[in-house]
Amino acid sequence: MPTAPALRARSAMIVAQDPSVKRNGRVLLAKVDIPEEVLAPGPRGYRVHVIDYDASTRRHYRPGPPELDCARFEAAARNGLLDDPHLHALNAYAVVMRTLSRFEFALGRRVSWGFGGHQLVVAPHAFADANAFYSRQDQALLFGYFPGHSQGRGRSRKLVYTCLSHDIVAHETTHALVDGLRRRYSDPSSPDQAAFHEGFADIVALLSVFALPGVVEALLPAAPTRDGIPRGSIPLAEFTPRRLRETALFGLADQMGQELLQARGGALRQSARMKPDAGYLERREFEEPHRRGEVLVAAMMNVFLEVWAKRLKEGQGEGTPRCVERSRAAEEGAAVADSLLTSAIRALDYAPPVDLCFSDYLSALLTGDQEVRPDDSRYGLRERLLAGFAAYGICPSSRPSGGGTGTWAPAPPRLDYDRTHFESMQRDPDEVFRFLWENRKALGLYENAYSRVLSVRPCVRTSPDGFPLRETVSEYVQILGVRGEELKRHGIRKPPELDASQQVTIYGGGTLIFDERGRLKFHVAKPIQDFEAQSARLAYLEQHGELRKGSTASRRFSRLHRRRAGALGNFTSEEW
Amino acid sequence: MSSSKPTRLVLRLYKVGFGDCILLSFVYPKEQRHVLIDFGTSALPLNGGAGNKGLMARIAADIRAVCEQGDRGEEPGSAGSTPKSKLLAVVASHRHTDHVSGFDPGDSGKGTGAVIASCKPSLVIQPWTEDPAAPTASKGPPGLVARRRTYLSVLRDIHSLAATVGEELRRDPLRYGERFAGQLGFLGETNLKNDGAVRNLMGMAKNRYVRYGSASGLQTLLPGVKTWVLGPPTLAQAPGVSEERDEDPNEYWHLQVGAMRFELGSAPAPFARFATYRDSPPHTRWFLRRLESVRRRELLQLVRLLDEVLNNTSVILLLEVGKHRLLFPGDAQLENWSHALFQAPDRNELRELLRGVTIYKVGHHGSLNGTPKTLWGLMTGAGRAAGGEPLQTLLSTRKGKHGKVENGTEVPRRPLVSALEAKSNLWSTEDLKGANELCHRIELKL
Repeated sequence: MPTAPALRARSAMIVAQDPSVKRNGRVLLAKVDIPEEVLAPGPRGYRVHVIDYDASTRRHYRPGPPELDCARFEAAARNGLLDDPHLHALNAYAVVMRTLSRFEFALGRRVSWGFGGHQLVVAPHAFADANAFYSRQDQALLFGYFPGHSQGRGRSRKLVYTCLSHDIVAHETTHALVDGLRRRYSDPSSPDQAAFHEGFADIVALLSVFALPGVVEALLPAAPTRDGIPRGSIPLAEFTPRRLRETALFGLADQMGQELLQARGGALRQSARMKPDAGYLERREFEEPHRRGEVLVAAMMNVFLEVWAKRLKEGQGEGTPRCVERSRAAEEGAAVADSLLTSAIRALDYAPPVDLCFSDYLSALLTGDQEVRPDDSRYGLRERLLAGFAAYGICPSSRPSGGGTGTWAPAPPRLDYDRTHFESMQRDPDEVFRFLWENRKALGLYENAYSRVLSVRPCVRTSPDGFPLRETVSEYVQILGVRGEELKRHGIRKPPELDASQQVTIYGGGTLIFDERGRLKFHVAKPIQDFEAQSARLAYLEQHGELRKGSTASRRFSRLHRRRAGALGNFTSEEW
Repeated sequence: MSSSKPTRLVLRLYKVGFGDCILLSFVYPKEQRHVLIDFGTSALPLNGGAGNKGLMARIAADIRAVCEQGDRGEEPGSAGSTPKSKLLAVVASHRHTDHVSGFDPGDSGKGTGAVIASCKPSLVIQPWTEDPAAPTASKGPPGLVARRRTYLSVLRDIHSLAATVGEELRRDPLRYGERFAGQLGFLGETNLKNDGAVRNLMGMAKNRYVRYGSASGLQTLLPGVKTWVLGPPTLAQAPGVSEERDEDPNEYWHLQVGAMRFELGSAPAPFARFATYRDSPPHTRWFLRRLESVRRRELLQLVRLLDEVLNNTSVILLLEVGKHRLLFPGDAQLENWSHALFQAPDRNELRELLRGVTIYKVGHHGSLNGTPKTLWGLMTGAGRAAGGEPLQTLLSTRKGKHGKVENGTEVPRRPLVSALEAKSNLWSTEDLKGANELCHRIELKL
């Protein structure tokens, strides 16, 4: 008897943004697709294990039934979403899984966590604290709760749960995923790299929220009832980038919980407010990682609005004035957000493994998008990305050799493939290392550094026309330990306060993108012998106290979040 | 009131352990006028032994003796007749225990604070955040008034939280482990409200509450001496409180303090009606242990950051007398310094003044972030006047009380001490080894 094929995806209900965002007096919920699986209590699945332990009160809540029934979630939410820890656990589980599946879809393969294990622990009520963070050491996402503002004289303060905030959960999950994809991005290296983790996590979180049509529709202005305007439609004049910024970005920001804004910063509102200015990144205040990250978010969110407005403007429109149906406008916005989110994530595969700067990310974004979506006539995304990022002072790293498109230059044409095997090159780090070693001169590797292939990842990306693009992505690093006194011999400037005898580590590395025939398409490299870049990196590390003994990246995300929220700057360059 | 200028200045850097206490004696031709800057400790000197017994009382007595009888040189009684001498002003840089505990008269009313009060100073200088009228002040735009109220309420919350930390450590001493309990307890005690000291300060003289750019009140009391108040900035001046941003850091601290009440058992746990495990399942226990450990670290980090918030209320005082410029920053850290160094409209003029500093009380007991490198660069850099007075630095500290060498947070911070030794004439209270050595006495010719 034939059996029905196993379902790959299923629907789950989540809080669309956070419990402050309501429609008709009820918390706005959204139905999302997540991978299907048979859950154990927790819920505990193949990639996520929710453990509801509260370290502040030392209470370990027994899990509820691991059911993701949308109707039950909706009904339970009506009866008191805030008071039910089981709903919180289900919500956090679903948002983490949705974010994971978005990454896996964009990259066309499974994505590992950064700590080596398979199941990320999610603690939805980890502690009483206005904070939430990813901790690699603890293999976990930890979400705090805290009392909000009092609701009136003599009334108690309602609790705010960070695990119910879609953008916070997606943000922290993104940290965990980026850590799995590019472990070195958590290392101190440059102002841009320090800012990237935060900025990118904000981008993913915000585009994830805007990719929900229900959210977008709720933010759009009500359809007017005037002569000439079809029922349920809105004049196109409402859909300029400027008007969309006011209605969609500010609209959502205004509804988000004020307490969450205080606890986590207002990336959305700041990005909406930051007008294009190519000078931001040069200013002292934008050296601080969170502020610098906001520039990246602002550039991306403005591109989102531009493309959304373009799509609506290109529609036929009806009536006089020309109008567009409200629901279609919302769907178009969600589709643009979804497409941009896919491109933003995919770009990670085309980015260098070490010492990332915003310009590298832009080149990676353009290259990845061009590879999968060569025909950009629908969105004009790449043109807008180039212009939009330039307006915030971010130009592609590859511009000089990229022929004006901003994409990475192709790999050197004359490489030796004779002694490597195509099949093994798709999965075997030793085989890829052999390829690297055979071609070390052509690829510009530094022969005397410790070199290691970190990963070999075959991918099948799906283009909008449905055709698969097969690629293999491999990363390698080069590491060289030298004493301060030896730097000059390597052409690197010694930071003035670095001891001659102190050892420092110089990093290089690259990302290799092979095509489906095993030929190298792109080599995105940060050579160890880029002495100018290495000198700048060491100077930055010294200024920020990262060369001093005891400097540690331990739970860096927690510290960063706190110092941002509490306006205690990261003035490490002023410390001893 | 004499209008002449002082002819010499004597500084006494008292050995209070982890704390600050500095007495400035301005010697005029016919009289001596004294200013006491801070008097507090949170840990008496390391290895002080018998010398620690009654140390604060002996220091208070010494201060009174100098203020009443005048500075008489290195040896008591070495000078001739008793000059006219008076303690004119007391500066309480901020409310931390290690800066004000000595002003507490104690339960008996006869403690060290009473000794200082008996000197009858004319003026007490404190930061604007201590002004009793500040919480109800309505000057400024409504948004700013609201932020100010939240900020002041946070400062009050910090003190009550510090008391709760102490209670929790007493109630459940094993929960945090010996090391964390020690560090938490120390920070908790430092941040106590110190009500007795503050009441005494309010009652002993006219109080003046200062902010960046305000007059110190010392200029009329100390003829021939110029003063500048470089901090703390008000909220309207402070960095991070820009009208362009919606986040209010004080609101964050306010929420955070509320959250910590759950930690400290003074708020009921959420979800009371939901079942919990009596004994957690084995497959989850590894994580529970880790989460407990994370929580301890996070709590310590939070208490430390709250400690920074209070440090940044410190008065930063700059004095100029004769060829000397003296800088007393309390425990100010960069958030406090930022306005004077980087944002103030007159920052370039201020930077010029700082280039000429000849006496620097090392900020925050020599911690890694108490002496901004920009400030140190100004005081020791190329722009410093050639052939002028060499820089002398005063370090009041106690090793082993704060931070750890392993993670580069020890106080005093070694690289800073090395820089102080290399580029200045360093006076450290840790060099006062003898039981009867109460202070360094530094005499400056003007």
